Amino acid sequence: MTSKTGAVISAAITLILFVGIPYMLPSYIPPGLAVQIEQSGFDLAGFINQIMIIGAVTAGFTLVGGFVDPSSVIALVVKIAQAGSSLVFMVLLLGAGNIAGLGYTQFDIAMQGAQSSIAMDLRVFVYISIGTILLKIVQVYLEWNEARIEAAPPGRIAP
Amino acid sequence: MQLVSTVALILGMHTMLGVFATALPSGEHEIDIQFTDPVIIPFTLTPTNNGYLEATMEVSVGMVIDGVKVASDSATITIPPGSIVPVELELSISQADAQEYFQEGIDLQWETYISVTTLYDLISFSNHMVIEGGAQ
Repeated sequence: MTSKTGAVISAAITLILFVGIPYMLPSYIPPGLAVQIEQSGFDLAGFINQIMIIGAVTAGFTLVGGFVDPSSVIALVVKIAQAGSSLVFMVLLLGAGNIAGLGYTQFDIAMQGAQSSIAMDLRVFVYISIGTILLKIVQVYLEWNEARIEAAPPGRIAP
Repeated sequence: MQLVSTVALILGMHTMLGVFATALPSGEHEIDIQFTDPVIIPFTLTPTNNGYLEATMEVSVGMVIDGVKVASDSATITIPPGSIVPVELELSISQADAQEYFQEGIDLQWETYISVTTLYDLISFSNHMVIEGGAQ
């Protein structure tokens, strides 16, 4: 399987998982649960849109990454951007759509005669994700540097 | 590293939300107020940890009259995996104050706070609830 075919398949899977399924999801949510989500003030439609945008961007990077020369600067930039979009996706998911919260989510629910303030702290997983993505970027750079050296003509050292 | 953090996230969420869900009283519960002097208002919770990690639960309950907390009690417990640790809290108010507070027209609120932390205190879920509870 060539890298181009692999990229097309990966991009298609990414599109199905992070664009197709979220797009279909609202129609499968039971009405009772949908009302509860709405009452909680959680912007489900906005959250799904954010997931779909990140999914489409990631699929785009995957596709472009498979079609460019692995030793080119564009390949390096695309792979770093792909790692960055993975991080944004994780932060978005752990923060329930609130990127600025970096894994800390808080929302208020007003019911009949009661007010509830719910907070969830998953920041440690965001920090782990940041560490993982930084290591991934180092790996991408080292792989790109190796590809560049291999692609250089015999007897020449890659600049 | 990604695999380990995903497994940790799943185990942590399972423990945390499981303990929190069982700590909340379900169905119709009557509070058996003891009209002695002082008046005792007991609260019993039975959080259950069906997860695989140890959890710590912090719980507090308070009575607020006209925006001022007049009585409160709190507890912090550690719940090992597969265990049930009952928590008993009580609010104690003098009989004279209770007669004043349980009158019609008094702005009475019940305040509860439940926080569950797990995964070596790295993740937490909390709920601060204010319930209107004046005399009917």
